[in-house]
Amino acid sequence: MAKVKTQFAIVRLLDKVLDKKTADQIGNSIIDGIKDSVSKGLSPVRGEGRFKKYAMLRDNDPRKYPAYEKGKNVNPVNLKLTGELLDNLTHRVEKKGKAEALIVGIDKNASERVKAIAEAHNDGTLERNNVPKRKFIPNENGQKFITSIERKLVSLYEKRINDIIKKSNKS
Amino acid sequence: MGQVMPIRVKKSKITKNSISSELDFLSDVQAPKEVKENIKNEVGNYLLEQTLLHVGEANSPVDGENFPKLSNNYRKFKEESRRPGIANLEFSGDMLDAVSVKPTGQGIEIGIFNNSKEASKADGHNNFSGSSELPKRRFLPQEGQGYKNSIEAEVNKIINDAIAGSETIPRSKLAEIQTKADMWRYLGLIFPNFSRAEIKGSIKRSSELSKLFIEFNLLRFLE
Repeated sequence: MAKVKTQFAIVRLLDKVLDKKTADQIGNSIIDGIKDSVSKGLSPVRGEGRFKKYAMLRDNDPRKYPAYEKGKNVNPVNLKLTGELLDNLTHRVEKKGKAEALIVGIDKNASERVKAIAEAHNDGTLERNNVPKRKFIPNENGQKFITSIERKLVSLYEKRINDIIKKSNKS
Repeated sequence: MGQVMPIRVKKSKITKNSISSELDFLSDVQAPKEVKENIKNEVGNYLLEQTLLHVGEANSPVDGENFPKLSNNYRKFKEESRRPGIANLEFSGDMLDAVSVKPTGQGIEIGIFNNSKEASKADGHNNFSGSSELPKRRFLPQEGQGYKNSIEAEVNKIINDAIAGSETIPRSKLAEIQTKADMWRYLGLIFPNFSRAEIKGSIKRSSELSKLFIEFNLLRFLE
């Protein structure tokens, strides 16, 4: 059986300005942004829009998902049943060639089950089983997070520059 | 004088098939055509996202507006229908799925287009027609209204950053700058329509520009 891919996005390469502390803040901000957007049924990936409806509404069939899942609402489409998928969102710094990069995505130590669920949503591997693609990590070439998430990263970058200026003007 | 201009609702429209707000945020902005097109795209995406994110938590993105809570009866009905009992304007999801943006001459138009069913629902909440009997839960601004301060502030930053990002600052010019006064004299020529605060902000938010300023030891002048 083919190994399930771990879903992740390379967000930024670290450098003198984007240090590990700032990368940590950016990573946390992105995860908060993903969770906020997903909780309202909006993909955090630019160009994807709102998530496709669950089958019960999409196919107008009261027997279909999430009819049989007690306590699960029909909308918003929030990719949440047990919570394990979004609980396994994480960020880390990894070596990419000679550089270090901030990576955001599913924890590489997550269970195969969680990785499979993430792949099914993000890459739409279950389209044939009537489970649509619902992208929550921009893992394809050229994909980005939505503007609302990107603008928070820009603001954190500005804060970092302000810190650099303060430190250099004190010394 | 800076580039900062509020988002002006040029016209709010309601027809049988559409409901929309035409927004102007570029008519006082000096920038090349392709930069303006890029700004329309970025701001359009941002406003659509902020609309959906605010509505998703039963809040209005429009300044001075809020969403009255659901009546007890309707809240119970929603919860029994397996939806959250909050005024997030989502029952089937079709109306929110239909909200989109399109570019205009000096900005964008946000609303629901060519969809009489969903436009009618949206007017029920926004009451551009004046004939809705539902509690007003406006997610599109009308003439005289604007977006919440945090949204407007970010739109202004998006505009300024796009303009700053499109300027080429020659390294040789930066190498010549020795004093703070030199720097401001030069930057005032490059960004004639920006205030000093706007110039500082756009440089600090740009990875490319900030690194150039670090390289030439000019960041210290931006305090």
